[in-house]
Amino acid sequence: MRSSLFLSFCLLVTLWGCSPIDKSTLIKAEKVVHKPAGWESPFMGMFEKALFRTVMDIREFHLTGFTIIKKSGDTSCRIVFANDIGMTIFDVEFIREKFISHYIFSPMQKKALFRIIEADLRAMMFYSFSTADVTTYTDKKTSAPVLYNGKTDCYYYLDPNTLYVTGIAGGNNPWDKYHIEFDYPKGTFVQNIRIDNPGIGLIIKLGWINQ
Amino acid sequence: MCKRKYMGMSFFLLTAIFCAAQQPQPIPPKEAGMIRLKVQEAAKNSITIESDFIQEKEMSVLSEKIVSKGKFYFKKEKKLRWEYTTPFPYLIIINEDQMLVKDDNSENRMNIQSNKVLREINNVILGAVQGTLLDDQKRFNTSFADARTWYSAKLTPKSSKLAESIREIVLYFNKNDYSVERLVMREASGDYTRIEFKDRKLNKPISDEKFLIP
Repeated sequence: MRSSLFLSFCLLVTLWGCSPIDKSTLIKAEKVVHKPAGWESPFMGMFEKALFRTVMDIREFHLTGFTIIKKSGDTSCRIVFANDIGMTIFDVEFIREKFISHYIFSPMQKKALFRIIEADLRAMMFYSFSTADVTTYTDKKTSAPVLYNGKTDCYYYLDPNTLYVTGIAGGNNPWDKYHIEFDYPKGTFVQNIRIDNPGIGLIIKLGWINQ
Repeated sequence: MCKRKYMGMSFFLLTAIFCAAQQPQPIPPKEAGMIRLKVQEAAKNSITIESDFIQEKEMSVLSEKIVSKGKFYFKKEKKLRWEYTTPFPYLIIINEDQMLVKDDNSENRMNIQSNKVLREINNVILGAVQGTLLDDQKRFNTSFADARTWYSAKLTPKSSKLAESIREIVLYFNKNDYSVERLVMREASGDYTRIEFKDRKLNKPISDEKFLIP
């Protein structure tokens, strides 16, 4: 009896860990017509650099400051987070599939944490897919279109009016599941981004500073 | 021709002398001890400081500096208020062990003692602003220099752990009142933050309400 309970628990945990979202919240839908016939991250294409006001919460750390995101090549990008008085908290770079940490403030030097942060930032920075790559759903609650990309195993939530990507859900384990929200109140460049990793209690909020 | 040559040489010589006069000269230990005492005395007598500040962050990743401006308040023992006005308004208040960071969208309260990152940063900032970091001989080696209008104290961390974050902190003291008028914090990467305090008012009454964390 006890072992079957344990097995059920393991099964539940495994099932819970299989998908980034609860699939029962979605229903299959017609393909979304979008021009151009695809989507890409606001940090791709013509993007060069941006400065964001940043709040980061992770366990005992609560940090506020600025994040600079700067493209250093077609497939490379540098991200630096410094606190309010200018001390660098982390300075990382994506070069193609590589992730280079130039500097991480010593109390935060935890490999597991930065593997998760890397996955979050990669999902935020480098998504790019066409309508052919995705299966289309509708969110039952909000009626918003949701696109599932099998290659990245991520769900992309669209704004029903603008068809901008306003949410990404990814990650397959309870501890690395993430949800990223993009907010475009002025319709040009993303103004606010919120990254949530509920499994480890990580929240990163970025607010664009038009400087 | 000869006259022109002499004029050129004189100009060169004068420029060199002027530049040499501007260059900070190392201060021998005996004199450094005196400056240390003067700074200690100034810190002891600084009950409040009110000032404008300009903060510049230079990063290798960016060609231009990030410049922030605002108003700074300090009240003994551990009360700080940084009011940033540029590039956009936000506020940091430190009152003993409590800290508040407030901007347009959010208000965050933290206990500094329960957060080792904040505790470390706060200790450095409080010590740098008052100049009392000079007394921290356990953690820093200090070397002094003398320029025309200021003394500087370069603090380099003794422990390799701290050196991973901070390569050096340079405090610039006003020669008249020995208060800190500028500080430069250089990180291990070479990036640095420079904070300059302008229009400083010492011991002008500042209401406790300025440091209130609701």
